[in-house]
Amino acid sequence: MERFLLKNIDSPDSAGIGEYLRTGGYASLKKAFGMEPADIIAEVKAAGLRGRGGAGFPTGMKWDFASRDPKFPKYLICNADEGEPGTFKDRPILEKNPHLLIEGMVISAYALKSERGYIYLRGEYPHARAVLDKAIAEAYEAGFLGGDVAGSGFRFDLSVHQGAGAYICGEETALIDSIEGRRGQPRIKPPFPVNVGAWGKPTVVNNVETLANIPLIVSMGAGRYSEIGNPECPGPKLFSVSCCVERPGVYELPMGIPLREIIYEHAGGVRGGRELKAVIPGGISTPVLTPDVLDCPMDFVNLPKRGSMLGSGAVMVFDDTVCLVRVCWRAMRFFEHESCGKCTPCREGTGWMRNILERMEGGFGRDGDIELLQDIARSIMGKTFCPLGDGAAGVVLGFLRNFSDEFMYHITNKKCLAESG
Amino acid sequence: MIELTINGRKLQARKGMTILDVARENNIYIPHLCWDRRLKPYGGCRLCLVEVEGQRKLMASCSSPAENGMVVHTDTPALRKARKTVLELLLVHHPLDCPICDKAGECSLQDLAYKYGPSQSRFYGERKHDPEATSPLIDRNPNRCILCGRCVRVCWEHQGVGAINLIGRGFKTKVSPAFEETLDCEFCGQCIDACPVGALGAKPYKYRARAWFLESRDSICPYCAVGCTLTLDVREGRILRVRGVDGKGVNRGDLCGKGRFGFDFIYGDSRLTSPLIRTDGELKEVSWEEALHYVAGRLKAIKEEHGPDAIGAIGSPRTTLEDNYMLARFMREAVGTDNLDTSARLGYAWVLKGVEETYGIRLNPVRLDSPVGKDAVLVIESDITSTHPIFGLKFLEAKLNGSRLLVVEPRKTKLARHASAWLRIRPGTSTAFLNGLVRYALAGGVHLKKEITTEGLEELQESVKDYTPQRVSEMTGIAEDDFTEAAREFITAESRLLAMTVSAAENQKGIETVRAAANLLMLLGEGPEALQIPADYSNTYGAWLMGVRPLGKGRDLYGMLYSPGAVRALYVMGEDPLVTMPDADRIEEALKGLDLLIVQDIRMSETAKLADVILPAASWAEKEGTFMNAEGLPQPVPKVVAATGDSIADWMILRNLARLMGHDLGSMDLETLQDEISGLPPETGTQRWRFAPSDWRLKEGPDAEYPVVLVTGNIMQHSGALSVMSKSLSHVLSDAFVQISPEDAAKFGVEDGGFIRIVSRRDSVFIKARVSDEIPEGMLFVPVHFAHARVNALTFASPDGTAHLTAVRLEPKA
Amino acid sequence: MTLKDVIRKVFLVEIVKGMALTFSRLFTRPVTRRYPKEKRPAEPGFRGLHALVRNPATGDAKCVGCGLCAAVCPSRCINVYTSEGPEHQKVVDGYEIEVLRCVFCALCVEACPYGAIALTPHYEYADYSREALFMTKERLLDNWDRYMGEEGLRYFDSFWNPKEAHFKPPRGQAMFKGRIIGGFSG
Repeated sequence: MERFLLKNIDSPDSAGIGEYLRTGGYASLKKAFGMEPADIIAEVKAAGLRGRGGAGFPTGMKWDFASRDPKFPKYLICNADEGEPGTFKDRPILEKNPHLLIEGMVISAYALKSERGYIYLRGEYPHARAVLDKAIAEAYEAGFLGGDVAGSGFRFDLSVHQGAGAYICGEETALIDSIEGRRGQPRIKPPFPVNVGAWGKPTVVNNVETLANIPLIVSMGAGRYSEIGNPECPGPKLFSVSCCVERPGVYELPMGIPLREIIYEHAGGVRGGRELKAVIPGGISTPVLTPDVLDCPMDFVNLPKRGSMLGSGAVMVFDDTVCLVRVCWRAMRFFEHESCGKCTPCREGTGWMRNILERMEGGFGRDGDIELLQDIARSIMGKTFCPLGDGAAGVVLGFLRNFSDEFMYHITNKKCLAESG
Repeated sequence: MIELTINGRKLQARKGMTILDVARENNIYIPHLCWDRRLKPYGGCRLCLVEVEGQRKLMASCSSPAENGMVVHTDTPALRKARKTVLELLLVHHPLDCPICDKAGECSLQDLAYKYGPSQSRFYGERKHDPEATSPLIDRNPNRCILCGRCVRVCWEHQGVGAINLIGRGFKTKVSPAFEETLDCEFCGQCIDACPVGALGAKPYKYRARAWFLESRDSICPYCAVGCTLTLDVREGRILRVRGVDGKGVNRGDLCGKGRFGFDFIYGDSRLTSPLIRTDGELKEVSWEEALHYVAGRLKAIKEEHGPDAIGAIGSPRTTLEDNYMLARFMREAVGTDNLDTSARLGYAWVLKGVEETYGIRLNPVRLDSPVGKDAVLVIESDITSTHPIFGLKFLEAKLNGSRLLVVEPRKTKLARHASAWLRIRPGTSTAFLNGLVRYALAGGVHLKKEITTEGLEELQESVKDYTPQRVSEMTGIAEDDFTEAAREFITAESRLLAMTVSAAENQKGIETVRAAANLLMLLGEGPEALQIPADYSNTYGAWLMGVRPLGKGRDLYGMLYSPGAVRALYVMGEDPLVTMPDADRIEEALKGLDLLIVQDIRMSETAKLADVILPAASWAEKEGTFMNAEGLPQPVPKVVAATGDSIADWMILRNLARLMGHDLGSMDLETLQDEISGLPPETGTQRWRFAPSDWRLKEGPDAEYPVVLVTGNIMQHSGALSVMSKSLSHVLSDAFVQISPEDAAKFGVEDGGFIRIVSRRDSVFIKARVSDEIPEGMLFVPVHFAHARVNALTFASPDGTAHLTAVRLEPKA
Repeated sequence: MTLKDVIRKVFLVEIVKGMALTFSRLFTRPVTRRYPKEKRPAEPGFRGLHALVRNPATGDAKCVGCGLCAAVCPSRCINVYTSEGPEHQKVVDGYEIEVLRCVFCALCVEACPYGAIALTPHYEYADYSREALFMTKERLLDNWDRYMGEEGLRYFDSFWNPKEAHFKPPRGQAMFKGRIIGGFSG
């Protein structure tokens, strides 16, 4: 299909402003300045764009809340803290097409009447940092950022804030704390950042991919845009496919494409033609699914019906050689390491689930461990401060729901079902 | 009005209340660990979860706003299960060393585990084993920490300090000062009271007793004039610790380091245990009978020879109302003189005089919560968070609630750090600043907006005509723009407050400052309640009311202490003029010239060392009485422990002495005394506003020979000369020092920690230097508490009450 | 009064009968114990004089000074004094029992989480002075050595902790300064 977000990334100089302008870049910006800010918000609303960070909140609605708040200044923050295992969809935009993001941010800022923007970049993306810094400098020079953007009189300043490697700072309120110079810990909601965000002012936090969609909506118009993919949540979507496939990578495909098509047509099928055992459809914090959901359309509407979520669109494919206890344990190690320590269930619970999984994996599992694990996960579910703990519990529950026999095998036979063939 | 249902009860709530607030107000119990009344909700412990009908998830009641029509359940099987799991998880890492932990018996986690928790944990495993971190007064055991964050938040949000924070993440998170260094803070100990478990404790109390060995008694703090309620925990007749109990007293449970740790001054080494009489130059222990007969005889002889006005007395701002009342009656009736005063003469008396001159009222008690809710709060050259820490907290609270906090202050004090605007003024020039504001207000025609008095207005206009912003800027060192901005902000605010302290220990403000402040406020149509100047010590206000001051033609403090030869005999009760009052050399001369010096004190003070007779008095907590705080609120102080040695209450000594002098005062016991006191006529006066022009000039400004100004004052951990008796407080700071700016240090060749000689026109002292960027160039700051430093030998007293800075020069050690 | 009664009185029949019984008892075994010469052994669980259990490893009392015994004591006859030691550890400076006020309910023994206080089988401690019945820590430890030999231990264990020798905390449950009991996934 036609690529919109990753249009020119195959060109060797795709990150430069020259190449971007040559392929029609910053045209949407000029078009946007001809529109009223409220009209842009209405357009985004009409396009049905939903946040690409994982929760899938309608972007237009978020903007509407923020623009209705009478407080000024307003802040626009791009969430580029892409820290979830399996997710690397924003990276091509950041490294290969940064001007698309900048253009999207300027249009968004204009719509929101914000004069200050930040890109909160993941700490482990040093290359992206260099590319972004260069792109921002180019944009300032070309007059697309600064005191008088593209001669419209609109002021917008943008800078990159690099995190220090904490996954929790991908949560918007923790991200704001981090930008403010504090310890990155989620804040109490309500009030939501759209009303009380950075330095107490209305703040919109959007994912990289979401913001990259904005120029598209402005240039195509909401009508044409919403024809892409599933009409309920339209638009192009970046899928980062990894693990046991022939061709792992980022694929730009329309929203609502069936999982089977992603794995077998675009990613070249399961590695070595082996049998597909499990799929995690949206990054490690979404529950695992069995192969019988292969025909489920990948979008925000259909996946929850099958007991999982689209999340960030990071498809992780496991074939029959992979030990899922190990995968679950590894995921839990990640959550334990990344738990911020604010609320009890997540701080202590993730560590304990990791501990139990570790002894299962190591062949020291006991009778009743599965029930214990389930009990802890259920006790954590819905009782933590932010979605990180819910995610951790959801992963465990997902694995136990679909693959409990494999866990059982680990306990009774002290070895792995997959590895023992 | 919001209506909601909790556990089947229909309840009403105000906007902005959380579910937990509503439940607490209606005595519905919801367990919690990380919530604290004073702090913003945190939502970390997840124990306060409640079920709200129609909500899929359980909600944290501490952070969920109450909404109309909500139906809430606080105790359901699902909630019990959730709480049980949370406690089980907390106990995974919490060491079960309750038999050793000092918190056992009053530990929230213990109580909750008992109520909701599992009897046995399904998890066993690694516990933290970080080393304990000890500091002079606060003991931290990170292993017991449950990371509720209350200490961190009370330190930053409530105290405005931020000495500790959470470091690390996840399970490895711990509470620590920056870079895991030793805790070095103001040692208020609020974190100790905030901690729900035994992770933070008072070092002096460590392993001293179990909670159930203690008996709790409420008393009033003996230090500053806020009059905080202390909860004393006593074991077998000895006070072991002091706590603040949430919601109790004028302080509502907040305490500063002095109140919390300074109680052990009553166990100080220098306590007097029996009366002493000087014979042949040596002080000898004698019986009470002998001592009192001696005193009565000598006083009678002096009275007969030189008349009663040759005898004077100095009362104490630290003793009770009853003691001071008895002293006043003793002097007026048994001796027959009006020579009577307290240290308030050097500070608070000027405040009252200034208020009377302008507003026409004779007393102006403060209101402790007055800063909260004011649009603009102006603090004039006063470190209120050090002198009156709990009153100071209200300024931080006001700031947090949206007030503009304007701080005019040379030192970088806590208030200056938290100020909306900090105007770094040249020390001692705040009168000029205020006069500048008056002129600015007059020029802007602000006074016309409200109906005000015109009495003295012309003189006022005349007196301030030179205080143009430009001139003020030159005098005070504040940039002209900053001045006009602050002036505009203060003058145009909807509601405003002006606060400062005037004290014997501070030498940069005087009656002119009070007059200028009152003029400004009257001009803006503000009554005396907008002028908040608290009395200094626990009973300064009360001693004044008890008439411990010349009511007629008697000699005041200046007439007794600074005029050698004016009186032949002096009766000093609970005061140490040689340390706390300026110009110590002159006082020493006056005291040495006396025929008879009687010192009645709890300890061997510097003044007592010169005395002919020393009478040991029972201290705070060893006698019953009443303190009157800066609000004018009389608060009972109970007897909690037995008196030290042979000491007895001051009022009893005076009663006995009067009898021996052949004059029975009639007051036999505390009850009749208190009846008499409560029968005293109220002293208020009616408001009658008139402007009193304020003249500003520095009596002793810096010049070529003495280029630096010396400012004396109180520091956070000490109060007057009393607190240095406390071993705990001395752990934090036991030595005198002079703070000097880095610029001056470089200019005069002073090294941090090195000794320097400070020379004024009167004397010189040898003192340790601390280079600190809290101090601006051209200024020195010295705390006055330490007797051995003799700082007050440098300063001077000015009987006209004007600000009296001391100009000094520095001589670094060769 | 009949003749029969008169004869009975004259010949002191009642007294002779009684003396006959007395005389016959001279040749039977006594039913009472001849206490000072003959001592009765205490049954398990008998509550005699108090003792503080000596920890064989350190030679000092096992007591950590938690004060639960004092908290539970109905006659308030126990006092525990602790302080901070040189290595910031808790030191039991004093442990006092006023034996004269004790009601021998043994709630202290039950409350102690470490089995550090015991009631010995020794009951012969009557004295003429109050002082002799005021037990300090040293005297209580001495009591342990004196009255809780092998025999005493058997008596103590068979009643108070029949299954385990000592009240050890469950594995992995308690941690004190510098020493960790339990470890990885118990």
